[in-house]
Amino acid sequence: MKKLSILFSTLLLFAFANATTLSKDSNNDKTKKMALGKTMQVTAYDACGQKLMFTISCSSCTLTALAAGADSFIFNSTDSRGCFTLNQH
Amino acid sequence: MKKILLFAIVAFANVFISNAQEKAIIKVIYNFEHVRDTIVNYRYNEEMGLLVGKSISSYYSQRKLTQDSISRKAWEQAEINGGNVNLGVILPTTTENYFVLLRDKKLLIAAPYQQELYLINNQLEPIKWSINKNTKNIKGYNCQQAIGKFKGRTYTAWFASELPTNAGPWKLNGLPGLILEATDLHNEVRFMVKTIQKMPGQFITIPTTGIKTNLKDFNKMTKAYSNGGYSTNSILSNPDLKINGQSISSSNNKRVHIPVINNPIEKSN
Repeated sequence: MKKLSILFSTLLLFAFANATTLSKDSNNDKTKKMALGKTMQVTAYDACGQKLMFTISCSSCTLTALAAGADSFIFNSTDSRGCFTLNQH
Repeated sequence: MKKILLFAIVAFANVFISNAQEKAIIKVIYNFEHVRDTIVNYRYNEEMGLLVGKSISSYYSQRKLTQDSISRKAWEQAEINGGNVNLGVILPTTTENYFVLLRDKKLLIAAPYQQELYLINNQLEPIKWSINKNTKNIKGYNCQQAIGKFKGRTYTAWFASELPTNAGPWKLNGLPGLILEATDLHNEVRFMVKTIQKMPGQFITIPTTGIKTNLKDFNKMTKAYSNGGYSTNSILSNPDLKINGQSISSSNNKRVHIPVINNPIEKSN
């Protein structure tokens, strides 16, 4: 019985730790949303030495969403050799 | 009493062990080359990694790992400073991760696409290797030559029996030693070892959370996107997300681009 109670206590501890982490993540995400409600300028260079600059803005996005948006734009601006197709944008 | 204890153990295992994991015993970095465009003779190259465990191997883009890490830091820095984001040099990368389950003879491809992770299950296709007497020294290992046909190409591979595993780069495997080099007959596809590290202190983790599919359906979906389909993932559909003042969910920004490859690595099924 003693062993069983120790096991359940351990389980409860793990569950509590998990819940705390989730709560922290959620708070972090909220902070990111507030901090990123503005325009940011992104710079990237390609395999051909070209520079790509663009602005990304969002009033209700997380850091992950902004990064995903920028990634998508860069990917769709790049040809199969890794060079930006700047004239199309 | 015993039943309760067993139930508790099973519940514990289910909650905390969601991914199959194995300790890597060897880590290899390869330089991968592929003539993707034969018209202009464009030779693509990328640094790839292979983690080898006792029963699993994982082949992934080392370049992608490095670029992703730099990008993450740049965004985090910009978040703190509120300044600009400098992503540095962005080169094309392989996004798929190939897991070979050597004992089960299975190949699992973890393919991120449109902000989702697709888990593509395949049977491992055996390669009929013919082992020769030719030998050469690669990075201090005595290697033996083997020739085998796979997906429409004839590969010459060099394997080290001192590194006792059937693993190799990409989908090449099944030799009695780790494949350190492989080149196809026309020198259009090459895997050349750069570094070998024993006991790298890393783990191979097979993802279990993702959309389970097969290669046929996955290819059908990506083809539909490239033929005029548009992204529908929730992140990019946010109308607030704008690039140069234009909503990313508008057709020009949302269209999915796929690089043209006129000389695929797999020439046949």
